Amino acid sequence: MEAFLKEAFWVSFLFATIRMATPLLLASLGEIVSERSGVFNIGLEGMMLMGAFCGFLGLHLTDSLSIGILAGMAGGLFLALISAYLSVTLGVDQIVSGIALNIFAVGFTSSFYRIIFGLTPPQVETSRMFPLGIPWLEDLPFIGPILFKQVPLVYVAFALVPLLWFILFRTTIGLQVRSLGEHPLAADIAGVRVAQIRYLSVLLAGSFAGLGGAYLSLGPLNLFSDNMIAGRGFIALAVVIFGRLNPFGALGAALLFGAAEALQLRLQAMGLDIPYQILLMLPYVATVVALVGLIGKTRLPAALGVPYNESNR
Amino acid sequence: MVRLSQKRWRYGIAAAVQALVPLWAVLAALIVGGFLIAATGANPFLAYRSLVVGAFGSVYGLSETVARTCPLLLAALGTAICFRAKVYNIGAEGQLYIGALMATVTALWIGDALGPLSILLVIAGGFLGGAVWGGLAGFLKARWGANEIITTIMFNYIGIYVAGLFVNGPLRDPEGEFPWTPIFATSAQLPKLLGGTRLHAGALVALAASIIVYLLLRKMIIGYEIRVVGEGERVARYGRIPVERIIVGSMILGGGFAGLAGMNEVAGIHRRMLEHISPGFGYTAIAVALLGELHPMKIILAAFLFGALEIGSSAMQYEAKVPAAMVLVIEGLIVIFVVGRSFLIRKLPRLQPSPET
Repeated sequence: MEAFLKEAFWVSFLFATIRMATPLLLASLGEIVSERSGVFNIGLEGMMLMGAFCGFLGLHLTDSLSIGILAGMAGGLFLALISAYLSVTLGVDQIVSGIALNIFAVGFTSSFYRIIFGLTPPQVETSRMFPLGIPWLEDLPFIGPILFKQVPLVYVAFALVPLLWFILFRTTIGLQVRSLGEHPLAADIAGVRVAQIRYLSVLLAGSFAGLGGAYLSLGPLNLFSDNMIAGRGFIALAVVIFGRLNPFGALGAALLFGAAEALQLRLQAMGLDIPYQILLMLPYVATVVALVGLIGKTRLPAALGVPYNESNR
Repeated sequence: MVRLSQKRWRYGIAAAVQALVPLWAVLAALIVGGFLIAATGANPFLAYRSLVVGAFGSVYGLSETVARTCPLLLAALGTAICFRAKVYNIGAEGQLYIGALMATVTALWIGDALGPLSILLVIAGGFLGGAVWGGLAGFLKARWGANEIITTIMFNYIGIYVAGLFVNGPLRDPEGEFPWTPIFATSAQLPKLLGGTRLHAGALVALAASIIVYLLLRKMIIGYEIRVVGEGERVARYGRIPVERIIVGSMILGGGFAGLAGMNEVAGIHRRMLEHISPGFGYTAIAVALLGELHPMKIILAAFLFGALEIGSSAMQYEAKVPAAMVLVIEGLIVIFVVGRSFLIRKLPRLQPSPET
């Protein structure tokens, strides 16, 4: 129990919290834009998985980290393109197409991993993403080693939070995105190009999710394994809701979810007699509570999940 | 007149294409999958042949296929009930786990005490567990408007962890090597139908469930009301249908059938509860329900197809050196083609006559 009183425990716990929150944050930031534009992108899980696989593949084939990261984004983008075509162009049910894409992605990545790396895949080791200390700041006591000795993608994810907030709430295109989620017909009549902006939003969600996936395969875990996203895409959906479709809210929610995971691992390692399932369960319970409105209700965009047919104008 | 008959002709084609959409989708997915297999350097014909032989070529293979079909079928039936009411129940996975948990609690509690009646109670326990879990999400939607897509996904994880909590805790077999419960008493298990295989009476439960869901949706008032709510909330309210009660009701029923899928796994396959009893049956079930066009009888065929794909996949991996996971690609493609059907029939006239005709 005295472990909790030591500074080292808190540094490593908070460091891990940020590390685990990052992929959730990346995926949820894109999903916020997608949901704000009215597209419920439940295929997030599959997009992260494609990102993890393509990122790993890119790194392994070229031994270049930047190509790995770009390949990861491209992987998520590829699935997002199919998703956007299905949900925006064809106007099919977004939930259904998302589920299909998730199944597809599990099969696709597991199959091609085996085909490329053999039927019994070895744990391929590659040059991975190394932490990048930020000069001056990393020497700060306590917060230095927590905040400023992370891998570069962590800084990218955190920098995206205010940027995305600004775009969504302070620019014209952000207003257009939000108007599509609330009343696409009105937006359309006002001259917003519905299909174009929804495409962009879904593609953005896909590339961010791909980045989040690549972070997982290139960063802390440094390997690809079957279905390695293990539900993080669904957790990111919860992060979006819990964060009330606001980038800063998502940051808070992602940190909360990350903390639950980090604490759970530490409790298990310490052999404490608290069932780890209870800790892992908490964020999901919190999301349900947020949705029910016991602690201030999360309101979803009015046109979320509704395909828009321009010919009905 | 010429124009009219031409229209009729095209109308007929449209109807035929639409009626056969699931078949086209399966065919298209197999063709695209074949190209993907060929791209990996394997022979797609050999791959599909070994898949078929693996799934149907022997008594054992066929029995495994049927055993795999059961949980998919049961969970898909549950999903279909909810989707018919346009209630997006993504939560079959969690309902399956809680159903399995309740079935386990019932089985361990009742033991052999009721003789052959024990299993009936276990079945009821499984249904009840799933029904409570599904009904909870339905209640949150009906009472507070909580989006069921998100809540059911959350309840999936909560349900899996709750089940894990019990299997690691109070229900754990003290002598067990792994976190699992003791084996159920014989009369609390689903009896084997065929010696030497894993084919068990769960197949009969699943078949009976399909008929019950068919009758429920077609012949019973609640089924009618579920379908009307699915057509549109305003229509339903105009028809004085208690929409909130139907939402909760469809989730209770849907959850119950998904719970039976969990019961089927613990009482039929494993004969005990384990921490992980489902490789995502609840998610695959959504695909199955859609391929079956939310129709109980067609869902039987869809579940059988998916069961065959998943059982045949290991033979495919062994014989043709195609990774077993390739069948998941095919499953995903099938659903994409089913939902993307508008691509196929867009050029043809709509089935609803347009105002000018």
